[in-house]
Amino acid sequence: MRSSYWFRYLAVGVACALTLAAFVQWQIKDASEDAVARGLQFDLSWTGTNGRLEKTELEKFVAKYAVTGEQHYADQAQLFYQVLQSRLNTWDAGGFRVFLERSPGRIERFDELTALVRGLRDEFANLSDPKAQQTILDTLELASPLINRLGGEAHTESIAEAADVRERLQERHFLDNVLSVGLIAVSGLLLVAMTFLNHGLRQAHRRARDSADAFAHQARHDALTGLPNRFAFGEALKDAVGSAEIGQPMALFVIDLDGFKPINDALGHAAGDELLQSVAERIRRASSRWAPCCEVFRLGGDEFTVLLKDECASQKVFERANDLLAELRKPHRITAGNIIVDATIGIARSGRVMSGCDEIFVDADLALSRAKALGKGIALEYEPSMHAELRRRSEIEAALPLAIHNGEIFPHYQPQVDMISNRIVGVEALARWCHPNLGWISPVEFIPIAESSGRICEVGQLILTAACHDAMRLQADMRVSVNISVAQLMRYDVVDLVKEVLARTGLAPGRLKLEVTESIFMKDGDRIFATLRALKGIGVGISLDDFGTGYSALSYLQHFAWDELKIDRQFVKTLEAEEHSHHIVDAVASLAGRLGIPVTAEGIETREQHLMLRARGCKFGQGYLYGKPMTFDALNKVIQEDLRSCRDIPTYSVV
Amino acid sequence: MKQALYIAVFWAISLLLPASALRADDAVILTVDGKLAANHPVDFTRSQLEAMPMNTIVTTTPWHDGAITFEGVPLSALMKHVGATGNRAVVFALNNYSADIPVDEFDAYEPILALKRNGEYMPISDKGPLFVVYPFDQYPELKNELHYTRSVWQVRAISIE
Repeated sequence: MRSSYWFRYLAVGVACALTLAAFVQWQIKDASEDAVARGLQFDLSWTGTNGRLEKTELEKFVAKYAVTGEQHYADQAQLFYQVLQSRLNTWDAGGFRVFLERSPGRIERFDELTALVRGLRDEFANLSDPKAQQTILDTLELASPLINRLGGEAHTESIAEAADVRERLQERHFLDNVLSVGLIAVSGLLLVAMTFLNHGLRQAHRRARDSADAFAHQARHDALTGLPNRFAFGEALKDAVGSAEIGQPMALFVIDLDGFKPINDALGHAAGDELLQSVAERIRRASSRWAPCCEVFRLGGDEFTVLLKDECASQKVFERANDLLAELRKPHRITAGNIIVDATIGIARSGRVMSGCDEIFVDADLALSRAKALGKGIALEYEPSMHAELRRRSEIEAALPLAIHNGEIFPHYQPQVDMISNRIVGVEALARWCHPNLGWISPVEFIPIAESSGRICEVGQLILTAACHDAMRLQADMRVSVNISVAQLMRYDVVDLVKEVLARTGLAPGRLKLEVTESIFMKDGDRIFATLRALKGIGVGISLDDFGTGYSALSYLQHFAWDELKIDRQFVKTLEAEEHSHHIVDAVASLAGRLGIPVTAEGIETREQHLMLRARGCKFGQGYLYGKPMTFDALNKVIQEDLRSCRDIPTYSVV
Repeated sequence: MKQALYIAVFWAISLLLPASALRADDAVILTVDGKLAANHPVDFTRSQLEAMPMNTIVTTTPWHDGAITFEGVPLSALMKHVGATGNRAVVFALNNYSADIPVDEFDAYEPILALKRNGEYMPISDKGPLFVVYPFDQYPELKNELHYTRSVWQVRAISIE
């Protein structure tokens, strides 16, 4: 970090400065203590002055004695002679001696002085003698300049030393000051540095906290719409369920957009994103109108949830869901234009049978699936039966593999008759499943499950093999139609498989017709057509089943040489009631006729229908009128009867 | 008053003054006056002083080379002996020098009035007969100008005020 660099330098600098300061302080202390100690040694000036005074006193007393002859003066003179000698002795030792020794001139003067003074011993022994008195005074006069000089030097030295000491102390004081100022400056600098550092730290902390907050937000919110995401939903749901267990009601809407994928594919992801944002905003606005406690989440893709609590969850739940649907149905304004999407809502509420978190979500999801199956664009509340449905679905799915293995799945056959000759010309093989526990499971139920669980190929292969095998036990001119799914057709080896079955059972390819529905062309139409052509190539016939429903395209008729067209039962059913059905059947039959494709009508139940369809050119018919789907044995019996009798319209009610 | 006193005393002593600086054992070498138990000055001869309990101080001084052994009467004992009641002792020397010493210091630092230096009596020419000696080495805080001035030699009289 930038600040840590300069701080490091600062720290090093400060450490150095402090070390230096400590060292300097230590040095000064020693030196100045030394100087001060020296200063206290000895007061040169004082002793020097005293010496001069004592000499003067001596001179005085000797002179006075000489003048007056009074004994007390003589006594004083003797005393001061001793005193002067003492003074000189004092000078010859200790600190004064050191001072003397500093200059050879001084030593000389001192020695001379001492000699002069000591030399007066005899004179003082004979003090009453005027000659002695004179000698003393003369000698003392000689001694005067010496002692004065020494005294003067002592004084000067004393002053000098004092000055020296003062200078040293001043120096020390100055350095102390410098150190103090320096330390204060350094402290100030450190304080400033700390402020910066603190500022930097606080900034970093703030940045880290902001970053953490942002991450936390990101982790719990969807980037595109800003709504809380799946993770946040999980937690909120757990919370709400917990509250529900102690009596606070909650409700859950699971919202799915209808037809979002096509829009995304058609207009691009940018448009899709915009749409999602608009949807999210609308849901959010709607829910906030109900109560602040309603939370909206985006689970991903085009799936949203709304979590309702308290009064929102106990009253007007259904109304709210429908309001929301109405809101969402209004056009969304995006860059690409105005888009309308529909939505489906699955509702689940607490207070119904529920145990644990996931359950309520699963319930709402089931309701959603059911709503979608019922036609989308609606809101549906979960019912326990939906759960039963799911359970049954799971059971079937689980039972499939075993069923395939155990031969619980096998074909029933429904006869197809020639409309004119009224004879049975072929059969359609229809998958049936008899489960030991669940009983008969209708193909309407298990075929989609087989498709979604990836077992359809096995089932298809099973039925195909069984049908071919059984066909061999029919008359040589009977043909068998078997439904084939898109999953089977997408396999690269489908042609080989069919060939192999034909070879194994020995059925002539021309007797086999494979029925496909238009929905197979949703994916990879070209490839499917190629496969169909290949199948035709080995001699098998191809029928287009349920014509007119779902994704009909007349171009399918153009691209391929179909061997049969089967009109869906819904047209046959309404033949008598609605005129339009007539026209449609007419058109299809005529069209097929011109293309040279024979037409089979499915779901014929009445004689009238039979006649009408025959009149319109349908070649073959299939339906309850001629016979319901039946076991192979029953079929055989029916065919025998058919052969024996030649009734007008064969009607068999054999189960 | 004091001057007259000294003159009188010196005059009395001078009658006995030999050429040598050493006083005879019976000569008065110290006079204590001022606020005493007795209302008159008290004289001491050398032998009278030596009769009192003596102390020894071994110390360096600025006026000598090396450590010297001084033997003498502790001033605190002297004060007690004379029943001094004042708080200031003015010490007079033969060469007209004088110094004030607070009496408290006599108890605090136990300075002595030294009679002997390295076992020998001190002549006037060697700071005798009496020398106020502080235990400089023992109390380094005494090593300053103030106490050097209080370390009076050639002591003749002490006035208690």
